[in-house]
Amino acid sequence: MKTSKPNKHETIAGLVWVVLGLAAIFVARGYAFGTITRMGPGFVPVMLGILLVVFGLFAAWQGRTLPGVSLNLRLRPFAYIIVGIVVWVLLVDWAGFVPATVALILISAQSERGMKWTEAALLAAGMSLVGYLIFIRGIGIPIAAFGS
Amino acid sequence: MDLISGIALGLNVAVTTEALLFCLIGVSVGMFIGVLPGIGPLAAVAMTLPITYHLEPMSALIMLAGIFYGAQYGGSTASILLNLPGTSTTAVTALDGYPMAKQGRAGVALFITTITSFVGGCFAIVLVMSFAPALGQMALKFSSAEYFSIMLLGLVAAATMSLGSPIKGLISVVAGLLLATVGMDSTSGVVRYSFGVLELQDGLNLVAMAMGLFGVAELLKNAGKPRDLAPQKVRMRELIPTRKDMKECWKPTLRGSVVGSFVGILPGAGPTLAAFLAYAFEKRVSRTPEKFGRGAIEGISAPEAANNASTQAAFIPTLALGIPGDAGMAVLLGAMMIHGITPRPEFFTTNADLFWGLVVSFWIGNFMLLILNIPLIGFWVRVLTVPQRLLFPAILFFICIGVYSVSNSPFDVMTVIVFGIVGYLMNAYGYPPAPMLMGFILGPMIEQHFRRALLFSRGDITTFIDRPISATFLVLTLLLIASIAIPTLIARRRGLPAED
Repeated sequence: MKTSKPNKHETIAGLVWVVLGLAAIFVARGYAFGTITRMGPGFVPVMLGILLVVFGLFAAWQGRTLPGVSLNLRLRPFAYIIVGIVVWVLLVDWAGFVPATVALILISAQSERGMKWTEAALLAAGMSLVGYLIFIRGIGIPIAAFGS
Repeated sequence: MDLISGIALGLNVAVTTEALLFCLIGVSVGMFIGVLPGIGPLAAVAMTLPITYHLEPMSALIMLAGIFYGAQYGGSTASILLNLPGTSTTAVTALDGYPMAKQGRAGVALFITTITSFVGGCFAIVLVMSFAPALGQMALKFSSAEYFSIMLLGLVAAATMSLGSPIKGLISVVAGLLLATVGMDSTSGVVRYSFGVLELQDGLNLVAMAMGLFGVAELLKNAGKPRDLAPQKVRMRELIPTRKDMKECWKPTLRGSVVGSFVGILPGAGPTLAAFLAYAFEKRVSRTPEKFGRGAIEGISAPEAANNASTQAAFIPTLALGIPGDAGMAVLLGAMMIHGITPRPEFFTTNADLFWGLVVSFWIGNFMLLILNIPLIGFWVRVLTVPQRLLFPAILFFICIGVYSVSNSPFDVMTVIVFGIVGYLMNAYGYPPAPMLMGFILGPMIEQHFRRALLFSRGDITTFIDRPISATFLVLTLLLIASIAIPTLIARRRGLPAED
C-alpha cells in the first residue's frame, strides 16, 4: 500500500477530515449552543468539529513529507462483496431469507479466485440451513424463509 | 465482600450447565476466529453480539468475554505456523515463533505459547479479583469531573498509544465522538445529525458500525488476495518442551504477565501494545539479545503471557470504572449496556453475582482453552487451511443476518456497507478504526459528564483541576501528549525526518 515517494494522498486525506469537521460545525449551527453552564445540544458537536478541523489540518501538513499511499484497489472482489450485501438487503424482505442468502453467497463467492459453482451451491445451502435454524427457529426473528 | 465468599458466589453462578455451555461456545469461537488470519476478535464479538441479545446477561457476558481471551490463544497458532498473525495482538509472536517452526520446533512453540498464555491469564485474573472491587470502592467518590477526565485520558491513550501515527489516532477518536452525537441528545431531547432520516433518530447502531469497521473492512482488504497456505508441520510427539526450554521461559513468562497486566489496567492501552512492550523488554534484559528473531523461546513466551494477561486485566477498569482499555473492551461495555448493566462502582455490590460469576468463568474458560489447545492442535492446523473462498461468503452471511436481527432493520445492514468502506479507506491511509469505535461508545457518557460537571460548578472550568483525582488524570493526559509531541519536535529542529 505504501510507495516510497511522497504524494498528495496523505494531504488530501487530512483535508477530507477538515471538510467533515466544517460540515459538522455548519449543521450544528442549527442546534442551540447554550452557555458554558447550561450547554445546549450544539455545544459539544461544535467543539468536536473544531477539533476535527485542527487535527485534520495538522495531518494534512504532516502528510507532505510522509511516504505516499496508493490505494491499490482490487475493484472486482470489492464490488462482489458490496453488491452481495446490497442484494441480500433488497431480497430479504421481499423474496425471503433463503433466496436472499443463496444470492449473497453465490455473488460474494465470485470475489475469490478458483470458486467452483458446486462448492458455492453447497455453501449456500448449508448457510441457509444454519441461518434458518439459529436465527428464524432459534432466535425467532420475524422474516419468512420464502416470500415476504 | 471478601475474596473467599466472592469466589464461592462466583462458583455458584458460573458452574451451571448453561454458563459452562456458553463459556465453552465463547472460548471455542474465540479460538477459531483467533486461528483464522485476517479476522480478529472484534469482528467475532460484533458477529455474536446479536445472538447474545436473546440470552441472559450472565451467559452473554461469559460468552463474549470467552471470545476475547480465546482469540489470544488462537492467534498465536497462525503466527507460528504461517508467519501471519491470527490477530494483531499476536503479531510479535511471529518474530520468533515462525523461525522456531522452520527449525522443526513448531510443536514446542505452540505448547509454550499455550502454557504462557494460561499463566499470564491466571496472573491477571488474580489481580482482577483483588483490585477491581477495591478500585470500584475508590471510584464511589468520583463525580462527573473525575469521570470526564479519566475518559479523556482513556481516549487520548487509545489514540496515541496505538502503533501508528498519533495524530491519525486522535482524528479517529474525534470522528467517533462526533458519530456518537447522531440521534437524540439525552439532555435536551433535540435530535442531532439525523438529516430527516427516521432510523438515525435513535443514533447509529453499534453492532452495524463494529461489523462494518472490523468485519466487512477486513474482508474488503483481503478479498481476492492470493494467500499461500502451507502451514509448517506439527507432530504430536514434538510438543513437549525440553527441560532447557522450560528453564529459559519461566522468567520471561512472569515478566510478560506483569507487563501485560500493567498495560491492561491502563485505560486506552490494549493487548497489542502489551505484547510489543513485553517483547522489547525481554530483548533488553536478555543476555543474548542476538538470539531474538531467530527462534528465541523468550521471544514467544513473554508476549504471549503479556497479551493474555492484558486482555484479562483490562476487565479491571472496564468493570470498575466503565472505562474500556481498548476497542474490544469497549464493545463488551456496549454489550453490557444493551443488557441494562452499567459498569459502575456500584456494580460490585448490586451485581456481585455477575462480577464473581464472570471472574470464575475466566478460570474455567482458561482451563478449557488449555484442553482445547494442546490435544486438538492437529484440528487447529486444519482450520488454518480453510480456503478464503469458503470462509468469506460465510462470514459475510453471518454479518448480514446478525446485523439484521438486532432490530430487523435493512437500514442497519446498509450502515454496515458504509462503515465497511470507511474502515477500508481508513486502514489504507493508516487511520486506525479502533479508536473511532471507542470514541463512539464513550461519546454519550463523556458528553454527559462534561455538561454535568460544568453545570454543577456553575460554568467554572477549573472544576476539572480543583479536584485532585481529576487533576491527576488530566496531568497524565498532558504527559502522554507531551511524550509524543516533544520527541517529534526535537527531531524536526535537528532537521531529522519526522517519525512515520
